[in-house]
Amino acid sequence: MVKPKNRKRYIGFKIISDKEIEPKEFEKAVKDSFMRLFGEFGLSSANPKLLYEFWDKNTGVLQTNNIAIPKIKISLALLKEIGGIKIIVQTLKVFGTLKKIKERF
Amino acid sequence: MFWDFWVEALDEKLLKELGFSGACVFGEAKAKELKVLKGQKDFTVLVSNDEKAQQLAAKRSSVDAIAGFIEDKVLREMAQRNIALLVKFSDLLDSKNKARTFYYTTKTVKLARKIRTPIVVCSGAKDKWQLRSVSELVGFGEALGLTAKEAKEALFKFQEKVWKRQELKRTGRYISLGVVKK
Repeated sequence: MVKPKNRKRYIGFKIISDKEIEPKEFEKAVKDSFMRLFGEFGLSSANPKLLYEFWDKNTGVLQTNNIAIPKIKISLALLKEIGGIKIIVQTLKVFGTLKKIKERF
Repeated sequence: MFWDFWVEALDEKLLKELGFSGACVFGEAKAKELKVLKGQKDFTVLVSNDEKAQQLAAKRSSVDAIAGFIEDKVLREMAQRNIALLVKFSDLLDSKNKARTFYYTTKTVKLARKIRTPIVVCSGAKDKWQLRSVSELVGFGEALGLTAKEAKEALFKFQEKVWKRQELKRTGRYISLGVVKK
């Protein structure tokens, strides 16, 4: 069986900050950061999405594809603050399936 | 064991949480003192974009690493004398023109990889909010053109050599590069 080139990947991450961050604000900040660095074409090919069902107290999961993982990691690392709150984003693990995330989260 | 070799504000607890086992705290010095400093300090870095200064430091091996945009001529000298190219993540973080910084850093790293100059990736954090985790710095290395293995090695390989050398110096067994008392 021929595997598709772009396979889905899920990046588990943790936000280190003094206050809690709103998931919608975070998703917007990630997309803005990605867009600034890699442009609209890059954003459309990476298509990062925050999975809201896994969001829990500054921990969450971002859906993307296997090719865009280093790019997503850079755009996460370039996030300095969201809504005036200083943050550090730490990626924990890259998952291949939703089942594996459910086991961990 | 991963090392962050350029931290200006040390937060040990946070560094451990981010996956590092050690760090090198930054302190500024004048260029004239470089030769004297190499004997006293654990790790000396030249931060300059001036080609003459870079070439002089590489020829005299008066530093352990050089940070900045470096030409291939200097990179070759550095590879011969085991001087590393230091890449700071904070340069990209604080840069007003990120595209330009990213372009020149990628260019230098690709050249260094081709010539086999050792590469050191570090956060260059000026405060605790600029610290970044191991996985982010590995991702940064990968985006600069390194393979996953090379990006990981940039966080510990050269650093461990420096650490071993300094331990030998502390015990008084170090004579010069490659020469050790039994």
